[in-house]
Parts: sequence; C-alpha cells; structure tokens
Amino acid sequence: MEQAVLHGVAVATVALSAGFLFLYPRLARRGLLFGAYVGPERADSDDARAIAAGWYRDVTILAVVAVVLTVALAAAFPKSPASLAPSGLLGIPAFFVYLRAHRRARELACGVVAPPSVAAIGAAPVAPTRLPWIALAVAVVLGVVAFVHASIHYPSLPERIPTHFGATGQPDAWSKKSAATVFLMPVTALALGIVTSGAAVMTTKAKRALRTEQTATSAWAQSRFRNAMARFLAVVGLFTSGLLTSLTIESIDVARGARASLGWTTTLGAIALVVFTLGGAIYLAVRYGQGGARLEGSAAKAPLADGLADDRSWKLGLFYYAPDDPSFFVEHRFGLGYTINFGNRWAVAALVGYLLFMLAIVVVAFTST
Amino acid sequence: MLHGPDGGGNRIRALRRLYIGWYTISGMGAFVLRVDRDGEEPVYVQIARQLREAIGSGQLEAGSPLPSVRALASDLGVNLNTVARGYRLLEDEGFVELRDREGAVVAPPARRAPKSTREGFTAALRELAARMRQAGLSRDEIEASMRRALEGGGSGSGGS
Repeated sequence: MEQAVLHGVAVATVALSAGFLFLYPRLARRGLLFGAYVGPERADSDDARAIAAGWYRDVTILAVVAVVLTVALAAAFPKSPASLAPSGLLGIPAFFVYLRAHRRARELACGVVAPPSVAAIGAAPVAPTRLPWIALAVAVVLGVVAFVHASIHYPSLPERIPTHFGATGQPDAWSKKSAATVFLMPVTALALGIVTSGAAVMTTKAKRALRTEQTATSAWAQSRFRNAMARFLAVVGLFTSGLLTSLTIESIDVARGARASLGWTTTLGAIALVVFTLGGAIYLAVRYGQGGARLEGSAAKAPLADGLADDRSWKLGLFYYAPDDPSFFVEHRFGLGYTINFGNRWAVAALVGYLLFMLAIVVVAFTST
Repeated sequence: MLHGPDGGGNRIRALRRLYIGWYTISGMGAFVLRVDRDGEEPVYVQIARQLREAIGSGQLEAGSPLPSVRALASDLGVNLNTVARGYRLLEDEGFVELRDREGAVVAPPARRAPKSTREGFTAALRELAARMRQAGLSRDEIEASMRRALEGGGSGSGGS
C-alpha cells in the first residue's frame, strides 16, 4: 500500500513539473523570451512562436518519456523507490531544452536595444521596514540562549541522548552523546536565524528595477514589494529561530530527564512555520505580484523592468552577473522574489558560506548518528 | 443587494485605480534619471547633467535629499564610483551639498558670487552668444531662450 502511494507521488511529480514547463512561456514577462530580451514586438512575432513551439514539442517528448520511465521503473522494482528517479532527474534534460530555446531566442534578440537604466529621484519615499533588524537581534539572542543552555547542561547529560522525536513529541531515536550531536541544533538555530533575517535586511536594499512607463508609481510599488518581502522573510526567520531554540532547550531537557517529551508548542510552531511560509508566499504573489507589478495595475501585462532587460548582465538568461552593479539582491527575471548578483563579491561569499554551512550540518548530522 | 458581483468588482477596481493614482500624483514631483551605459557621454556626466537640469528647472528644490550613492548606483546598475564622481562634480559646482548624515542634499543658491566666478560666467555667456548668433539665431531669439532658461522651462528639449 505504501509503495503504491510512493509510485503515485512519482507520477504526480512528473505531471506537475511538466505542467509547470508547459506554462513557462506564458508566465514569463512581456518582452522576455526564454531568458533573452527580445522586446514586446518581437515577442509576438512568428519567429518567437516558432521557438515556443519547439519548446512545447521538446517538453512533450520529455514528459512522455518521464512518465513511461516512471511506470516502467514502478513495474520493474515495485518494492523500491526507484520510480522517483525520473521526477527527480527531470530538471537536467529540462535545463538543456531551456538552453536550446534560449540560444534561439538570443539570435532573435540580436539588435534589440534594451531600455535605458532608470532611477526615480524625489519620489514619495517609502521608509524601509525595521522588522528585519529586530528579527536579526532576536535571532542572535535566541541562538545564544540555546547555545548557553546546551553548554550548561552538557557535562551532566547521559551517555545516550535522544536525537529524533516522533509526531507526539516522544523520542524515537537515540545516539551517543558528543559535542556534535548536542551542539548541532543550537548552532543551526543561530546560523539559520542570522541567515534568514540577514537576507531580509538585504532585501530592503535590493535593486529597484523600474518599469519603463509610470516610473514614480513603479518606484513606489517596488519599494512596497521590497518591504513586504523583507517582512515576510523576517517573520520566517523569527519563527525558525524560535522553533529551533525551543527544540534545543526541550530536547536537552528530555535528555537530562527534566521532562518526558517535547512540548506541544514545538509541534504547533513547526506547523505554523509551514503554514505561514506557504500562505505568505501565495499572499505576496496575489497581493503584490512580482516586483509589485500588481500594485501598478498591470498584473496581466507587467513589462520587464528596465534594469532586468539587459541581456549582457544575465548569463544564460538566468544568472545576474554585473560586477559594476553594487546590488546584492536583484529581482528574479522570472518567478517571485529576488536572486543574488553573482558579480557582487559579498553576495557570492554569502551564498558560498551558506551552502558550505548547510553541507557541514548534513555531514555532521550523518556521521554522528 | 445594490451591486451584483460585477458592480462590486468594478468598485474595487476603481478604488484601486484611485489608490494607485494618488501615488502617481504624489510622485509627480519625482523626476526620472535615465542612463545610457553605451552612450558616448560618460555615465557620471549624464547623471550630473540631468540632476543639474532638474535643480535648475526647480524640479528638485533646495534642501531636498538625493538618493544615497549606493542606492542610486544599485537602481541604475552602475559602479559606486561613477555615481560618487557625478555627485562630487555637482558638489564642486555648488549644486549639491554632501553631508555626513543625510547624504547628498540639493544646495541652495550661493548668497553672492565671487568676482572671479562672475567674470568666468560673463566670458562663457559672451562665447555662447557669439555661437548662437553665428548659428543664425536673431537677437530676439537669443533673448527669448535666455529668459526661458532663467524661468526653468525647456525650449522643446529637456524636462521630463
């Protein structure tokens, strides 16, 4: 029964991913064709339609092959999760299909002049939200509290400590006591809290790439969107540090016998975090639209923002690389939210540091249990 | 039930337009800086020239703050030094004051120009007048364009 659910999930994932790939050309911004700025006119041309047709054909082939493979693997290895492989690996051929469409779109974009860089000066200012700084301070305080709690009780902890808890908060996995197993959680609490609220702080300073027309409204809408996004990230950061800190304190209390199981607040906090993250993302998309486009009353036809139209700064149409631009975050060309400027040393250092830290956490977690 | 579902939707849309419109009007004082990174004119000169024109025409009043070097460089996607150089040029010319806390602020006109400055402007004006005459402008036309320039209006070009 459980295996049937697994195979069902595999097929559903392939179907959802393929559906997204089918929608992609329709979701992209006006003037943008597979990561190349071709301008609003050429985006409606027959050449553009031919490129899109090629994409639909390639994606159809990919989807059919992936479904057939999934079903075949499910039939051949009914007792293993092998059927999940096609859905997990679908991204790789999809990337090459994208590159093919991107290369053709680049040719079409030849000779198209990107709109000039624009900034609004003296527009009604929107003060940046202070919530990210508060979240950052709280993250540091909570992280230190968790770390101190772990340090104080470390000597008196038994040799076997619980490392995993079931849905009811009862421990269901144990391992040998070590610095790695005890301090993994408080260090993660501190780091994730700082990373999330730090990202929120940088979001309030993200590049405002203004749209060509209605510049003042555009500047206002983008500032509002930046603030909304920063508040969202700050609250996610607050939730994360609060949750991990309470988890640290409670699991150490369980280990030293001060309590039998985790409190209900931890479970509730975890559910609240998931609900808030998903709900918040949907709310931001519906209320603001990408870059605040919906505030400009042009949700259906939000044009590409000026600063995002210059193809020279967008490697493969996906990665923003502008060494001259001091921006840390820039708006995604596609999708909701921000991406880093790969030409900014600090942004790259932050990303690499974050990835290395996550890798270290995973390695420590696997080797110590 | 005075409004059907459509009536309600229209009202919301109208309110929304009003809401957006208010910000458009409140942002009317704003002026738009455009930078062509591939142009012949250096970017810092483009920035300085457009800010100078906006200050001269009264679009930016004395005391109004300019964006920080970092914010403007980020929005335009140009180097920090480029914006700083443009601001410094304007500071040298007396258009902008660079204050520590508030950043760049539009400077009020100087109380009294020193003699050397006056002589420099007189010479520059004399040269400009000669060039305008040579280009075929009549005395009246030169006077009219001078008056327009003083009032801050454009003569078909400039302005936003």
